[in-house]
Amino acid sequence: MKRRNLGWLVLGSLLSSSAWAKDMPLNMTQGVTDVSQSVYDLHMLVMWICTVIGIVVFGAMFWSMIFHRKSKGAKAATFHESTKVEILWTAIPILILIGMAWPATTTLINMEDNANSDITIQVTGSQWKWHYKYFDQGIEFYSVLATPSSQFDNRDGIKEDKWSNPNYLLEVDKPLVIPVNRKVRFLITSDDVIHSWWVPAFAVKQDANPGFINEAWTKVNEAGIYRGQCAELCGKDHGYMPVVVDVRSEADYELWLNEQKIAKTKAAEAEAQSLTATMSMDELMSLGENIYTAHCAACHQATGQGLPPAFPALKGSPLATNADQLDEHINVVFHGRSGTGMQGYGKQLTLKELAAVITYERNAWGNNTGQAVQAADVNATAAGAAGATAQPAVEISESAPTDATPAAAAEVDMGDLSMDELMAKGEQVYGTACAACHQASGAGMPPAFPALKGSPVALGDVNVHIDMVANGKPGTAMMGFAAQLSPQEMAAVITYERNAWGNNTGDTVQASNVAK
Amino acid sequence: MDKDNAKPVDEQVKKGVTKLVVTVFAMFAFGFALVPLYDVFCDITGLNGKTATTAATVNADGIDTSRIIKVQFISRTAQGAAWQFTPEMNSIEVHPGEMKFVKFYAKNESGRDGVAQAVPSVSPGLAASYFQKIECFCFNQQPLKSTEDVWMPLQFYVDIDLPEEINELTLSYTLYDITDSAKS
Amino acid sequence: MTTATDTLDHHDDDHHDHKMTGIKRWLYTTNHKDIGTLYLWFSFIMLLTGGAMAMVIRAELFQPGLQIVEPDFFNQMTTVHGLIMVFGAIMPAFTGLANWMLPMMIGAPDMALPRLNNWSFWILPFAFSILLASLFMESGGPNFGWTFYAPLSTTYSNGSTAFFVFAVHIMGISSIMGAINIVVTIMNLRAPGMTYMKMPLFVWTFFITAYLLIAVMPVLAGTVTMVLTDTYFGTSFFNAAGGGDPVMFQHIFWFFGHPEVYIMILPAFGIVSTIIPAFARKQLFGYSSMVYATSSIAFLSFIVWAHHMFTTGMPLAGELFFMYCTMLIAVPTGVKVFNWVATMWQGSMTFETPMLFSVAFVILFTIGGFSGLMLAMTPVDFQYHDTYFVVAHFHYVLVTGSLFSIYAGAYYWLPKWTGHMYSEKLGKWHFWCSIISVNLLFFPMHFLGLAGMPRRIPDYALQFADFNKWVSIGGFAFGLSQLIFLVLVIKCIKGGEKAPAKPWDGAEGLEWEVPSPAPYHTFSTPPEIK
Repeated sequence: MKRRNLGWLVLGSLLSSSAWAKDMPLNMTQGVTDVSQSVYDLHMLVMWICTVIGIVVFGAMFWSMIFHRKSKGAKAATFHESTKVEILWTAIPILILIGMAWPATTTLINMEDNANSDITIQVTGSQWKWHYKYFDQGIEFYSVLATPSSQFDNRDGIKEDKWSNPNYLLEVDKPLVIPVNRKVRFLITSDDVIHSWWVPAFAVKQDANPGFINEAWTKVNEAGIYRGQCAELCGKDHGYMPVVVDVRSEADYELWLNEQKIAKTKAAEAEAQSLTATMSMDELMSLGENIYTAHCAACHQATGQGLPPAFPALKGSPLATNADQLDEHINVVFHGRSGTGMQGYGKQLTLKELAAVITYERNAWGNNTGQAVQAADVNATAAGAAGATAQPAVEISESAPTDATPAAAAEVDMGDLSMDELMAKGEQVYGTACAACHQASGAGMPPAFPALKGSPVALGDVNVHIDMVANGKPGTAMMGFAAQLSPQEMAAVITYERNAWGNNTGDTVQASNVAK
Repeated sequence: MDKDNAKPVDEQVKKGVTKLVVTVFAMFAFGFALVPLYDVFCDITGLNGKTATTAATVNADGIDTSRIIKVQFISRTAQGAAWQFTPEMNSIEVHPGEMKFVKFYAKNESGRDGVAQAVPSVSPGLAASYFQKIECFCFNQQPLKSTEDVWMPLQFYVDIDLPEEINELTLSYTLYDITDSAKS
Repeated sequence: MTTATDTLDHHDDDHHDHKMTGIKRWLYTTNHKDIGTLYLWFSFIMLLTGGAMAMVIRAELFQPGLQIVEPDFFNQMTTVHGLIMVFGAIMPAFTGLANWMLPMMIGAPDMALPRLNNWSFWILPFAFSILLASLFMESGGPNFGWTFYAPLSTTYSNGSTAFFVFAVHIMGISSIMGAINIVVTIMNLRAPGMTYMKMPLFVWTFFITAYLLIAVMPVLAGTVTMVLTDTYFGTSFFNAAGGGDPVMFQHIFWFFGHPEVYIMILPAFGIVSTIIPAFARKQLFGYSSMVYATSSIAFLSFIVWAHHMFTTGMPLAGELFFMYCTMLIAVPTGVKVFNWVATMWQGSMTFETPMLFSVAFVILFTIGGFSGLMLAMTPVDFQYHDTYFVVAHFHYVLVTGSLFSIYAGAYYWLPKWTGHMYSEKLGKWHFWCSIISVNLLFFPMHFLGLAGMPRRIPDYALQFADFNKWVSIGGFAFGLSQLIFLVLVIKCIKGGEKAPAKPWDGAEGLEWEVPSPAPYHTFSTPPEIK
């Protein structure tokens, strides 16, 4: 709140900032969708109507101010009423308004037509980042401001390096990627307060209301990168919550989807490995500090002193210093704390990162607990609930686009097998595809990797079980195996899961059941 | 209300003040009355995709097999709710009037006994009043002991009068951990 | 804006009640002129306080990056700036004008409820002390915007909500008491022969405004009460977890909020409709149509609230309804503007400071009206909403609209209040400095909004840098210009050319029939209206 040399600031920027600043468009963007174009046209129409009315009215006013002034010897007239005139200037505006309302209505009806979309993406706002989830693709990620705080925090001296960053405050670590020429439907909601998802180039601005979903859609005509911002005051860092949409050609979009799926598998593998790895205190502290700076310092401050009372201090706090509150500490970081600004980071960070940042919080700023928290500790205490953690799928082929399934399935053996055959084949498939996580014993590695032995899925409705194996489990890293396994293999493994380890349902599942 | 009026000014003023004070209190009450009125308003206009909070009666209008409506399910856990919460399927196709049964899986992984409440929202909002729930876990609070899990039922049909232009519905549930407020 | 000495000189002439001196006089006063003076001074102090916060905002936005304040404090500044300007500057200033002028204009000896009048003023300083004190508390002041949308103001608030709610309650009670007083005064204390359609338009607009206040301030009280119980007592009006709905907050808030906008502009219409005829030396054109237009604006204000919420996800039918109703408001508003122009037409005009501010009001308020019409169009509003275009719009309406009309009124009646003519030279300085700087301040905001700058952000992308710099310079200049007014008023109170009973030769109305300065008690025997 203090400024040390305001004088220099004022003088310096008066003289020089014009040379730095980018050109700003003076009018509303025409955008890259049909809707944004018609919105622009409407805007121009109304603006010109207003301009013309303004010229007429102000013209009359200035005329009388210039020619009907006392100093020019003007004598005041005495008229002060005319019903005719009053009716006239009531009727004419009504006609003009009808002329404006007509195109506005057509545009609006078009904007609100969310039906028949090709892709559905769930957009969730939270303080202060966006989360995107692609329906039926199993892809989801957070999108966070990428501009480093060192560029905008001028409190210890004006930072000039921002001027060489063309996308200052309008860049994110992972943009939303959508294909060109496809109708994309957005389901918009929020985890905490109200946000508003806005991309000017699409003319889409829709509030994200906690607990409720809103719909919007766009169909972009030109590939490119489009930037917007959160438009509804959502707390402290409302100004640091950009929206970036990367619109790609359909082929590039498919490529990107595949990359995401591979990256997801890799991440899951790394996650599984981290469970068995033990990191040294130094490693934990240095990784922890990085994570803390990126995700925690905005509220809890780099000094750990927070911004009480909304954002409590971690330095010296019982949660971060009492040995017996370690579990609670892990839980709060993982799941967040309802009714406060503290969100859950379980979905945003890996187990390793979580372990590191918790270790950091328990050892930095004189919180010298000496406790090192490992990924496995985090997993044991908290993971699984959010289901976000690892599912190290083995042998997932690199090209696993979801739409490859029907063609491949048509050629494979669809014949029925006996229970014994199914069990034998199932055990084999289970060993290669499932046991890494769910364990050969079916006991899993709870809570991250649920047990199948005695699980409601394996004992319940067969169709649910098939759906889960084939399509994965939404909201978790459980991958769909439809693309990797043949229907017969899936049938076998499902049969196996329903009958091994005392899951004696007696169900046999055939390839034909699965193919449905 | 001129001076030659029968009543003295003081009495007139008193009467006026009384009326206005009554108006003030009435408007204060109206502010609160807006809460139930808002629900009525939502019900009529489909604002915000609020769905009915009580069970609908069983469909008696028959099934329109000529139309197929895709119903998508979204399940979300609110911030701080350490519960697992997923539908058994991502989406389902139904004919208007056809009864469907879908289960949602919930597991309390918060490490303590808790109570959760699911809050539904339907999009497009206009369709909310056509989405008829015979039975829904969202009507009630769901208590679960630590690590306990449950399959929660949803039985619904889409009203046969669903407007023609709607062929896709999204049903979102947000699960809130209301353990603390349920206690008090 | 009179002082103790001024009025003491005169009071002995006509009355012999026991008038107290010093601070007690002001604490216990039930005289409408004293209370009017208190209101006007209070609102000017609040204008400077809220203005100082605007200076903090503009200093932070002078260049990109975070330099002067934390983002959270920035939010507190925008919030408290809005609250102070709306509830502390504009509304009390209008109440002050009403207190001073209404009884004189209708030939009444005082307001109908003098003691209530004293109360409704004296609770105001407490309300704003609470609000301002919260800024210095550990939790910080309210940081959720003056519109305090739930759940940012409830579940996610910083602990200032209780102070905020309490302060708003007191402001609301003050406004309601003031409004009741205005209504019963106008209804019962008019001089014999003054029928409703003979009342000055100034009186009419305050009459209608008072009704609006009585109708919607209790709704605001209800809203903040719900916010309070949601925050501290576990209710779930706006909390989805408990079956509430955050969007409902916005509906209830704007049900108050939109009429509130007209509460701040209808009296301005009344002031300008008084001043323009005086300096055009010509009767107001279309008096009765002005009354009808004011009434229909007041009525329409109740059915357009959701145009503030087009992006919240309303169904199509709702969006269309609120769009059409909002566009309809342009009709009566247009009638008013046309009437003012017709009043000037073929007049015999002079341009003293009150007239300058009134003319500026007509032009700049109309510009604000135009951008309002643009905002009414739902599809385009998706692009304008929550950007600087909106900020430009409501500042054109509230600063160059409401505030300028208050200045016009202050200059117009200063001779009546103080008994001295103000310095026309300083007045012109004040006007020209204000008009240039205010446009430098607010006009570029239209472009910022169209280019995509959201409101309520402490830092912005680089393409907005140039415009923000100029806006800030305009802001500082406008802030400084208001000090000229302070100097002018103090000089005017202290001395200056003696003002005649009717210093403006085109002025009409009962207030000009009493000497200047107005005696402490006027119209103890009601005048006869022919």
